[in-house]
Amino acid sequence: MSSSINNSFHGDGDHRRQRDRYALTIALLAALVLVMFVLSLLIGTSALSMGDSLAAIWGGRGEAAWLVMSEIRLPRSILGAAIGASLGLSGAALQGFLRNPLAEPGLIGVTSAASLGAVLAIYTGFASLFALALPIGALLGAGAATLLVQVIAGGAGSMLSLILAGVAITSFAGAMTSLVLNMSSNPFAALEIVFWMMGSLADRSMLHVQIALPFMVLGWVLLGLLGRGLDALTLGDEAAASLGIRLDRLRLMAILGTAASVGAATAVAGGISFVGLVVPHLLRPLVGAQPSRLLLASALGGAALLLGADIATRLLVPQQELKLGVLTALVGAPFFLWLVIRTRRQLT
Amino acid sequence: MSAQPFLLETKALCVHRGARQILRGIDLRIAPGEVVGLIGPNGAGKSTLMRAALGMQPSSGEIALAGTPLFALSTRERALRAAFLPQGREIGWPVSVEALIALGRHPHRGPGAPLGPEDQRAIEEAMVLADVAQFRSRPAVELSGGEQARVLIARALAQQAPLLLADEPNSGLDPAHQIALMETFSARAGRGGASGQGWARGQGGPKGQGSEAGGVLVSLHDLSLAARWCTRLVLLSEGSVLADGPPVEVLSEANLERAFGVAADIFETENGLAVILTGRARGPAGIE
Repeated sequence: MSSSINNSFHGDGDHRRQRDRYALTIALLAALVLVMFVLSLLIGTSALSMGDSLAAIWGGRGEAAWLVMSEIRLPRSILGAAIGASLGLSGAALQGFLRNPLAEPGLIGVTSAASLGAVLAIYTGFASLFALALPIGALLGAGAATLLVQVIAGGAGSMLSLILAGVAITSFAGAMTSLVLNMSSNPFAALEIVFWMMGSLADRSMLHVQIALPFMVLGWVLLGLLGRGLDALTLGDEAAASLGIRLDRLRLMAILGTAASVGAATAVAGGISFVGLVVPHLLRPLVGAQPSRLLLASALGGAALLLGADIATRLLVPQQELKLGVLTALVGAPFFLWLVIRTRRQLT
Repeated sequence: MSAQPFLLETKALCVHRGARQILRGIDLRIAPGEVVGLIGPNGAGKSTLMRAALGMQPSSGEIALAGTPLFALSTRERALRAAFLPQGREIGWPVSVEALIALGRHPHRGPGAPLGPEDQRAIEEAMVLADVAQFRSRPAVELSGGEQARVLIARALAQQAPLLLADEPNSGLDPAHQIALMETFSARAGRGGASGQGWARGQGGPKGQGSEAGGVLVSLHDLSLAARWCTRLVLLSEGSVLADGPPVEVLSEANLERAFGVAADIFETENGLAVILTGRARGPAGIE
């Protein structure tokens, strides 16, 4: 206990090194998002060469190429980036809040409830009334699930009760979705439902951006404010509370932030799994495992990954575009398995 | 006592959990300069008392921190008055030792404010006091249990609150670090300690804390350690204070038999009391 205290220079250097490394990580991730965004604008199924696409961006309005860019590809790229960011950010926030590396945005039941809302909209024919009817139905479903989770697990509820409430809502919404499929006498509606649930960014318009983006931005703000509280939670509930963290407020913000961003994401793109689980995991070692730093990093990483995955859906099987949710699950599930095996090895 | 208010004062503090009463009217005062040892058998209510004193456990009765009623304090103001080292040692993520200790500075930092030079100084000082500076860049989860315990102690020290509540901070520490920790607590209370070198240097800083005496409430199971290093002992039994006073008064054979159900030989040495447990008592608390 008697070593010198005059080593603060070393300490400052250490801090600065970590901060510099974090800044570099963020800069690289941001650059990656930018590259993916541009690629996502340039690569597509329509017979439009990269040169034409570039010319269209700089060129005049009214031309067919410009229409493809602004009406089809731009909204798709914006949604890809925003939805990826929502999934990565909320995954990092929930993992930090629950101190569990296996937590993911779907955990609180919002994803499956939003899906149920969309499925009901298709089944009842409400979805065909106007363009945004389906996402509105999904948002209503997400809102109902959020209320339910907060009523069951809010207030003085424990983290375990939040997880259990999420599991219950997910199971129930899944059962209801199956019931709707079961009752659906119209095979086309059933097919539409199944396809929608696979998750995709194809054929989305600026209208979809307009309805989803405000909710997502609201969610980002709420989740972005969690950083310091999540850091303190590294020490456990009691120590965090003794440091002045209001756990009840933290829980409410985590639930609302996830619900708003992921609910809106699901409403316009369907269920896209594993992004919110995998991205925080990949990036955690790069930010010194600090939950606050993982938030922005995961948002950027999620955006880059989803843009990349969406580009892959267009390139892998050009004749029959792959569904985005199918692709992320195909890649994500083996990764998840590897994660479980590695975690088990660490525990034993 | 001086005119300074008590760092902690509880009056008729009661805690119920379901139908069970955990604490039965605790009157406890901790003044600046005191290192109060909280002793008592398992389930006596030691941890509950600490949590309740910070308002982290629903309770009835009165609680005041540094003269202000607890209900009138924001959580941040409370954290500036009292630091708490819980018994459960959780480290959720493989963050570096230094980043973990920096969490103790949370109540001192405004929203969005980075760590300032004063924060950095407090962190350095805490690392030296808890003897963990050599681990600063390593992930805390990779350290041994005792080393992790010291890192978490450093976190609580870095908070630099006048009052420190520590729940069994000694468990898992080797003898040298147990003594070093008790010395640190004594220094916190402005008592210098027998050989508190780390602290003596820490005081040299421009804003060393040595000028204002703090107070410590520490729960312990090692009675000799409690006798040697605490200025006062509070013996809890079944949710009530059985004895409260200097170690010589509290650590009587009769008290130990009543509270713990053990027989003990107690000697007075030049370094304080030595408590040797000789067996289980045959009294009412015994099993026979």
